[in-house]
Order: sequence, then C-alpha cells, then structure tokens
Amino acid sequence: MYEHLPQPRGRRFFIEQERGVTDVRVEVGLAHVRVRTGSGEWGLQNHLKVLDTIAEQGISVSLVKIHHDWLTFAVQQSDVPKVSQCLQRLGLEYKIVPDLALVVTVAANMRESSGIMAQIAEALWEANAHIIETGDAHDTVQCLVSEQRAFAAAQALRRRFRLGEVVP
Amino acid sequence: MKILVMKFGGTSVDTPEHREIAARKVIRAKEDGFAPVVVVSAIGRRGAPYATDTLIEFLRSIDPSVPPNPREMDLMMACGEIISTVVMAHTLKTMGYDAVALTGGQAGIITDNEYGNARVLQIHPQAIRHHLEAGRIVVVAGFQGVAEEKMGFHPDITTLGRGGSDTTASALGAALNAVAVEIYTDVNGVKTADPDIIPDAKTLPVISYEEVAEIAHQGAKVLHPRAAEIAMLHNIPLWVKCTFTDEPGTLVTSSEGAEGVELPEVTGVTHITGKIVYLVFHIGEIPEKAEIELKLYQLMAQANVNLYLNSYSHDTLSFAVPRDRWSLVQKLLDGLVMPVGSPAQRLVVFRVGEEPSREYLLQRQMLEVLGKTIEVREIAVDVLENCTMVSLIAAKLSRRPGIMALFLRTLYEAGIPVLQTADSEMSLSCLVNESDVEKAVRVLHERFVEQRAYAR
Repeated sequence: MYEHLPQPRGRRFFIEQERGVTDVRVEVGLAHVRVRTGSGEWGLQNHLKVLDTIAEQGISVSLVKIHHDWLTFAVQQSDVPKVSQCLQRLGLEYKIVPDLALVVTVAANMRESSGIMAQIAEALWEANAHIIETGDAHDTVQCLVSEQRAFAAAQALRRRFRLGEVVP
Repeated sequence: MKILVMKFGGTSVDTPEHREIAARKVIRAKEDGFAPVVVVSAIGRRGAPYATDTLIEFLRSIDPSVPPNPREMDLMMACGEIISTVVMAHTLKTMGYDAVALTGGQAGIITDNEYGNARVLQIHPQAIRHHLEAGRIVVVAGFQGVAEEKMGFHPDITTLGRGGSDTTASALGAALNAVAVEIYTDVNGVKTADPDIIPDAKTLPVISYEEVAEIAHQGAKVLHPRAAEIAMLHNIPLWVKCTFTDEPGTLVTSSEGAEGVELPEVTGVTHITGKIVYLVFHIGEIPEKAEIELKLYQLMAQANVNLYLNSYSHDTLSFAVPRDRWSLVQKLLDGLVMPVGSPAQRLVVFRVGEEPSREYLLQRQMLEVLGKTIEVREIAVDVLENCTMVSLIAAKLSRRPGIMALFLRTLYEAGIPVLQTADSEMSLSCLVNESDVEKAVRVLHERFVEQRAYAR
C-alpha cells in the first residue's frame, strides 16, 4: 500500500522546529513603485490598468499594497525602464525608488508570535535602515530597505535573534 | 515492522457507532500487516461531557474572575484525551484485539515547559515499540506530553495547543519511522474551499507539505500546520482521510509530488474565520515617522498583540490586529500622547475613529497649555472593523505576471471592496469586509479553481 512513497530519513533528535526566528536572508536588486491612482471607482480601474499594463510586459510584481490614493508595489530593478514606460503611457503620476533590497526574517508561526515585528523594527532602526514597505506571511516578515543598508540590517537582525553571521 | 500512525479527531470517536467505524479501520490496517499506532482526540466538541472545551469551562466556572494556573489547566485538559484513549483501547479489546492505552508521557513524548502551547522536543518510543512487538495495538492520547524533567521532580503534563492531536500523530510518525501518518476527520480530504461555502469543492488527491501548511495558516481547518511542518521536516507521507468513507483522501507529500500524480497549480481558496480590525495611522510626511512606527510596534508588543498585514506609505502606517484584542488596542491608542524626536521636539496625540472620544478630548485639552512651548500634532487613526482575510493558495502562480490583476479584477467585478492585499511565494490574500467573505470565496473559487481563468 505505501511501498511506492518516499521513505522517511530516520529519527532525529529534535522533532519540531525551534520557536522563533530561524534565518535572515537578503534579496538585492529591487525597486519600489508608487503610482497615484486616485480613489473610488476611478482608483479601482486605475489599479487594474497599472497591473495589466505591467503584466503585458511580462513583469512580476510583489508587495502590492492599496492606499487611499496610491497603489504601491515592488519590481526587479532590471524591470524599472519598462515599468517607467508603462506608467508614462498611462499618464499617471508615479515615483520609483531604485536600489532596494528585501531583508527577509524567517520564523516558525510568525502570526502567533507577538513582538517579532517590534524586534525587527528595533534592529533595523539600530542599523539605520529605514523601512520602505513590509510584507508578512505566516513564516516570514519581509522588509524593503535601501540596498546600501541591507546587509547592516541583516547583521543587526542576526545579532538580535542570536543567529550566525550573514554572508553577502 | 511497518508502523502506521492513525489519528482520529473528536467527531470520529464521539459515539459508540463512530468509535466502532474507527476501530474497524484500525483492525483492517492490522490485518493488512501494519503495526497501528492510534492517536485520539478528546471525545466530541464543546458541550460533550469530556470534550476539551467542556473541561476548560468546568474549571473556569469555579470562579470566572480567577484564571486557572496554566499547569493545572494542562492537567485538566489532558484528561479529555486520556479518557478517549482508554475508551478506544477498550473498544478494540471488545472487538477481539489486544490494545494498550498510553498517555503522552507514557508514550515518551517530551516537550518544552510552555504550558498550553508546548513544543515536542523529543520522543522516547521504547514503550510503544515494546507493545507493538508484543502484537498490541497502541492507543496514544493526542495533544499532550510531559515537560523535561527538572531537579529530579516527576515531570509535569503539558498540552500542545490547538490541533495538538495532529501534531502528536506527525511527531510519532517521525519518531517511529512510520510508513505513513493518516489523519482521519469528517471530510474526505483537503478541499479546494470550505465546503460550507462551496458545497461541491473538490477534494485534492495530492498536495505538498508547504501548501497544506499555508492553507492551514490561512484558515483551512482540515489539518494543523504544525503537523504538516513536522511531516515535512522528517519526510513522512501524510494522508487526510474521512473516517466514515473508504475514499482515498488527500496525500500530503514533498513538493516534487508522488509517483504518477502532479501537484495542482491552484490549491484552493481559504478564509480566516476570526475577525480582524485594520488600522491606518495618518502619520504624515514628518522626520519622526520611523520613530513613531517603531514606538507603535513596541507598544503592541508590550501589550502582547499580534500584528499582521503591515503596510507602509510615504505618510501612513497600517496594520491589522485580531478582533478579540481590539478593545485593549483602542484603550492603548485613543488619546495616547507620544513624545518624539531626541530630545523630544514634538508631541503626537492619537485620535482613533471618526468621532473624537472623551479620552482624546481630555488629553487634547490638557496638552493645549503645552502647545505654546512644544508642537503638538494629531495622528488620526482610521479603523476598519469586522474585516477578514481571503487567500488564494497558488504556489506555482503567485509570482506570475498578471495574477494580481486577475485576482483584484475578480473581486472588483463582483463589487467587493478590497481594503488591502498581501502576497507571498505561496499565496495572494486580500482583506475584505466580513459581510463579503462568502462572496469573495465563491468568485475566486469559480474563476481560479473551476474556470482556471489564469491558464494561457
């Protein structure tokens, strides 16, 4: 019945993953885009126009956030010229902040751990890494910061959570 | 010895008929040459005499104003599973099979000492192996273990938190090198959506550990995410099956999939049942914005409030808090005066909601006298109550160009206001009003699961 399935690797000493933060990673080469879409029905139509036009260029977006008058998202730095062209064509006001990096903090069951965001914000503050945007999943908090400060931010986080040194 | 771990939830053991059906599945596995290790939850749900919630309420009813000691609460809660274990072992004996009941501690499950939410550190499975080698069916109490021994004292009983019996099953599977872990429940596998909203939601034949952990974290109740995470860590095949049918169920395996089956592009649509309050802080473009954000995070951490859906803009900060923490958060924030700058160059005072509260007005009045010597600035906080999160779990699609546009278009066309979005490698999520949740699940399921509208 179960012979065809992958066989277990054998018993380990620790059964469950440790609590708390287990890793900090850095992903470089990102840019943050802020587009004034307006609000109400007009704003909704503009959200779709912006995302569709960028998708037509084969560009992937992340950290998509909806604000009162704005739509913001992150793209790969290499896609910035194409994104700029798209937004110019649409005639919408926009601002692109280049040379950013994502500092990713990995933890087990992030959404049930109060205080992790405060510790991350404190570590980034100490490293003088201003948070431009964040994203969170059940196992990660991602902070978009200046590429220049990203490795200092990662080191500060690793010190804070008592992990090994980050390798650039 | 081919060890098979079989876990039965509360509704699978709540009546003599259901227990007999569960026992027959165990007996069939034994007859097929497996050595079954059975894990059981407490009998029934809230209101049933030995259900976990009933035991909690019983203890609290002594004096609702005095919270029970966490150590004693764990002792109380562990009773439900112990009763269920004895009843199941005896049921098997009455059907002619030798069985033995073990508490979590007797089964060798060692945890840390966080009462009510302990983590499994290690398992000493000698007792289980001894009974299996003697030909017995072993029945283990789910949801519990014992803390590491301290200073020679006999160790305390601990409980593993919500969904703890799934965790027990996966942990035993890992420690015993089981050929598989089978989680039996009242649905026939992992569904593409909550069947209460989508009655004809499909049962997925196979799903990856990562996906099942994601859907569990995003609100699906079929399997606890910790069980999936342990199975993934130790590469133990996990099945979700129905106690009351002989359907094959869902195989949870590594992301490479199992032989002959391909993992789905879209796993499904989930929603969180608990309500969320979403807050937007209009901080403004001031030099102290980052300092204010940091202080708000510190305040929430001190109050033990979990935050999610954090979002920044050039002049705002937003995050969500669980509904059950909202009254505390409101008390902390409304009228809060925060000195900012070093040395303090201005005071900011928070006004929560559209109408200024009495607390806010009183604070503001007292600050007026300072207004001549130090700048006082108001930060308005917009409050969106009764929201919840709906997610599309699609590991293979979430970074595909155009997928977010299709996700939003689906919701906008259905007239559903999207208050915020979140995206990860595994999923796209949106925050919507509680009243729109069912509609959002339906339209997303229709477009992404039934019509596969993303396909090119």
